[in-house]
Amino acid sequence: MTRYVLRRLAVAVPLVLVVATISFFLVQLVPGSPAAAILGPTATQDQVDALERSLGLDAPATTQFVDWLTGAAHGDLGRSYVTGQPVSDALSQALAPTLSLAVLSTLLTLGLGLVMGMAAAVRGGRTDKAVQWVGSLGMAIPNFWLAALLVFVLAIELPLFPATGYAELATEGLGPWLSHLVLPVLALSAVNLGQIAFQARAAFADALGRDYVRTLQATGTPRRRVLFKHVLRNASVPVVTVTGLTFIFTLGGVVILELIFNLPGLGNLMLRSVQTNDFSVVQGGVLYFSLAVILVNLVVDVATASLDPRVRVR
Amino acid sequence: MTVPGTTSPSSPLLRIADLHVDYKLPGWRTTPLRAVDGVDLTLAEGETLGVVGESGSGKSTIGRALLGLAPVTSGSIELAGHDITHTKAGDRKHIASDLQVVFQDPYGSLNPSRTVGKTLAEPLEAVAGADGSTALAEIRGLLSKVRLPDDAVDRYPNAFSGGQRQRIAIARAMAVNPKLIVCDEAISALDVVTQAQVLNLLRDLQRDTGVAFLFIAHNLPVVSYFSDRVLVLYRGRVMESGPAATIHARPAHPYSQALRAAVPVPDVAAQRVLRRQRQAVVRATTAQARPAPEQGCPFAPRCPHAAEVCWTTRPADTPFEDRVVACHVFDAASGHPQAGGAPDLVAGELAPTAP
Amino acid sequence: MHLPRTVRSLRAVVATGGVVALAAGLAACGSSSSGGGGGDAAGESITIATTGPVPSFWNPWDPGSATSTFLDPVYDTLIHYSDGELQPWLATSWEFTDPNTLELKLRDDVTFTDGSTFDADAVQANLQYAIDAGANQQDQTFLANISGMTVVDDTTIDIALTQPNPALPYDFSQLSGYMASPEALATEDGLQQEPVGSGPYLLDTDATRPGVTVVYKRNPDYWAADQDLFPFDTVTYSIIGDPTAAKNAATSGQVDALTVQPGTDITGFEQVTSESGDQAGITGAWVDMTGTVTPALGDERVRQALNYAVNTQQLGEVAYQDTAIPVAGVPITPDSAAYSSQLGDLYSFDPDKAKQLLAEAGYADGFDMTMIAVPQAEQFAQAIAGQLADVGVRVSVEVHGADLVQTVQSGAKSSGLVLQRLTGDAGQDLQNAFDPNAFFNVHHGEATDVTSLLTQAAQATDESARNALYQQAAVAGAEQSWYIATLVLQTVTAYDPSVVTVTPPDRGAIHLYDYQLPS
Ligand SMILES: Nc1ncnc2c1ncn2[C@@H]1O[C@H](COP(=O)(O)OP(=O)(O)OP(=O)(O)O)[C@@H](O)[C@H]1O
Ligand code: SF4
Ligand SMILES: [Mg+2]
Repeated sequence: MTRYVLRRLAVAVPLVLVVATISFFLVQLVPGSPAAAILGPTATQDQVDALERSLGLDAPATTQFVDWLTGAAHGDLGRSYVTGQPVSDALSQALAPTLSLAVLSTLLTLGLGLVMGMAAAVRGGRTDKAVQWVGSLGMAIPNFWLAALLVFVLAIELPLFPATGYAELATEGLGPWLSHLVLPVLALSAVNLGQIAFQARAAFADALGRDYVRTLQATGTPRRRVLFKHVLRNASVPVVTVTGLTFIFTLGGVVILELIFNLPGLGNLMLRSVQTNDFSVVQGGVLYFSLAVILVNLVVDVATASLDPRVRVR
Repeated sequence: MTVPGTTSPSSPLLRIADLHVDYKLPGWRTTPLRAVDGVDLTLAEGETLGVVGESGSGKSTIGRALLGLAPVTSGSIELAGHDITHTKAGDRKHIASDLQVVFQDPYGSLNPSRTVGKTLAEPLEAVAGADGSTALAEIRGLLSKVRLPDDAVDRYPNAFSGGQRQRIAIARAMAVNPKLIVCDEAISALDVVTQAQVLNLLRDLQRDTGVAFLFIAHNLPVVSYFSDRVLVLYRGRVMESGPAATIHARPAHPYSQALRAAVPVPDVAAQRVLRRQRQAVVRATTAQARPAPEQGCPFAPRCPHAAEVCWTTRPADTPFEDRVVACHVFDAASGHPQAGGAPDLVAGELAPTAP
Repeated sequence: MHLPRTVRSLRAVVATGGVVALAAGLAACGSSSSGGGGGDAAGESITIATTGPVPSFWNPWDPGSATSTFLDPVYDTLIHYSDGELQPWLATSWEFTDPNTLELKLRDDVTFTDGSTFDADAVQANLQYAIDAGANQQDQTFLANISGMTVVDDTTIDIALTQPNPALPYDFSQLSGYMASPEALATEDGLQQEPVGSGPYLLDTDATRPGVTVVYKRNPDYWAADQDLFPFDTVTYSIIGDPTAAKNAATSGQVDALTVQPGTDITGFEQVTSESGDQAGITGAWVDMTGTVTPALGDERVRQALNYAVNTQQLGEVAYQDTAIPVAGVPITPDSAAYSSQLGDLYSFDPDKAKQLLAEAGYADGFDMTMIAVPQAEQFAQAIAGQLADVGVRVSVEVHGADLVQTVQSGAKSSGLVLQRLTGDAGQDLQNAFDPNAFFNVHHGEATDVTSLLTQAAQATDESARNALYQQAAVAGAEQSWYIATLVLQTVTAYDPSVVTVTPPDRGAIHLYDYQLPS
């Protein structure tokens, strides 16, 4: 198992390097000078030039890249052109809400989706129909619309949860943190819930139809034991894979929900930075997102391997 | 693990009487599919009963009904003197020590995410209540019984070939010393050499432990080679039953003959008879557009000897020599134009019935 | 809890979703932590939503920080502007001793939060810093006009100007008036982390979260505490970029006051529309009046034709729901001192007149031109283009986002949208509009008649004479027709009347002192 993880990591490291390079030069391609954007339309060319010099933007792109990469390797992604805040500080501050949202949503969809899929496959009939309906409905509703509905009902008409904003877990505690996240998590989860429930339903149906399950049933193994000790694990493999995919998808979906719920996350930060040509933050953000994707894939691979011995052998 | 005093020599290990199984089909107001239609059978301790028939004839359904995996519409199943007709799969803990199963698919019959050791320990813990260390000793014993190495314990099913997997499945079934094992196509997915190895293994195990087999397969020669008695099934009904050797050598029922005709033989004269029988069935099937009758003989649409009575009246189970045959030709009182032509029919000499 | 039936059954639905346990457990924490407004026992507090940008430095002379929203609580301006009048604040009086010299008399009882004293030296230090740093946000550009300063005594300073600027005292109530501690200004990065001013509040760094909220608490040593101009103990700015999110926050009681887009309705909130505030400004399109790119535009008749061809009234109604005021190519509304009926008569929608003017100029068949727009305003540009097409002028709209500045500076486009903040002073706003060095005026076109009228006006010491000259300048500027499809935008402020009453001024910024307790 350790060997397997190490092997995967060995593949991930060069991938990160490639992604870092691409993200740097991609951002360079965006037209417009950060200095001009910062100083605004009333700035004179002299002012713009001076600021570009002080930001180091007058150096050739390759020099800038080497500097940036050297810094990045030491965890220093430079400073925001606009706010002067270290980019890594800005990103880590913004990381918490985004991760909270994505992780909570993934846990919720995974848990609920597994239960729904299992119920649909095991009980069939009406339960199955109900699960299919709920799942399809969730996938059909655009998340911004659901967000608006949730805010209207659960924050405005019935003020159970705050309509917008974020509370830090560390400083404000679990209650406020969770209560600020309930609505965005629900809005974010609807789409993925259906996907995971359907995947789980298919996986359970497949596992339940296997002869080893029939053997267990026929030889008097209690249903619970069959389901939780034998079927769950095998059915989880495809579900975990899909969950990894939806997690990445979720990171994308987070951006719009952060806007609607005014969460100070990566999505909001990136949007603001793009609007103000704050390239250093955009570069760092792209790197963070790419790292997240690579990391999630790694976690999914390892999780699949630990669930399914066949993967490890290969 | 048998309950003492439940089996007397007079009562067989397994008795199935007038079994009907209907599958509910998906959809609204669909008529249920009758997979087993009035099957009777008995099986003695240490005996092997073969069930043979083409795909969809209901073989597996009988096994499943026995295992509590299929819904029994009517009839009764009695195992070791206990009526288990309506005992659901989940409540079968007490039956499990008597009744085990080996399924066909060597890839699906073992949980891919559990080691062989764990798979084998499962019935021991669940049924016999064995703890970890005694279980391990027993598992090693079982593995050697099915001729697998000791280190198989810690390996996953994917490390084994199909034949090895079936042996693991057999070991699992044998773990609790059952009285009856249902082998549903247990060797059908294996190559011929491996089939023979597994059959020999089963036979050795039977000799050592006195276990009985309900041996389900679609291949008549294999079934009759391995079984004491054979039951030929068509569309959920027993067409013919009797000693394996005679049914294989001289099938009586037109359907049994059709089954037999599908298997090549070395003898040239026999070949000619078989070819004629095959052609007759093909001709009859092509000529006949009517579906199988509700009342009457299910084989009528394909039978070269089908007469009007075959479409309207269900043939009675008629004793013939050492077996029982459900065909009007064998029943002198049936009114079939060729009734009484049984010996010719068995010899493959009876001409097709004129339409 | 008594709930309407539908709500109860809805909750049942939520419960089956498996979240009700969570919901019930969190509801209490949620409502207690989110309380923005309402009468707290500890004292009044107010939460104001703003779209940002968030200040990262606290130097009022820095281009990234110069927004009165975040400066108001911590810095005092020299002069206040309310009820349409300039009011004494840090400066107790002001007087032009001649058109080029302004004398300010200052308070002697004010200290900055770092202990340094506010006096004439402090004012000089601030203004000199602004001039040296090239502070150029809105009215700050006019500080470059200061030619020298004389500290007469601790409480008196004379400011000498190169050219007369009668609006300077007004500017001192806007961005040009914020006084920071001279010691902090003199220290490199002295205002990087925290503001050092003399204002009514202190930045609550513990409660402030970058990018999320900026929280201010009362300055216990505030020199003007007895004036009761700042009734709230705590002022929180909640940074909400998305208008819908801001509206939701307001509806659910997390926010007590906010700027909303025209046409937004928030239950329980009152709204007030004003020519002041952060949405106020002029929009429309500038055209290349030098004719360098598109020769046709060098002809005044053609430019006037474009103004006649656009139905500005309709454009405003569609784009801004009646909150925009159509103006005749100059940033002068009917409320302005520079407004005249002659100006009001110019450019009422008249396509026939437009065609006639085009024909006179030799463009009866129209001509081709380009128009730059930012992505958010593309529709607005297309609407203008559509109306111009009706008189035969073919406009191709080009959308530029990040490269907007470069595109304009390239000087290769014949027109572009503008969105320009206004200082609120007619003279300054006209001067900005017709500045030969204005941002979009790449080819440095000049409107000498306008600028000379403005110079005369600045010289005039008599206010009514000055206003008469402003009116002439406005008409002259309108006839130059450098801008087409012009609308003056207004700010719509919504507030929860149980928490606050907002009374915006008629021009300039809406200051924190315009937020008062409801009477
Ligand atoms: N779960 C089920 N639901 C509905 N119909 C079923 C089900 N299982 C089997 N059947 C139908 O019942 C009939 C008998 O099936 P069964 O599996 O017993 O046949 P079989 O003789 O074992 O065939 P094979 O050789 O293909 O395994 C077939 O027509 C089959 O389609
Ligand atoms: S009963 Fe009739 S149809 Fe059926 S097998 Fe016999 S002869 Fe053929
Ligand atoms: Mg079968």
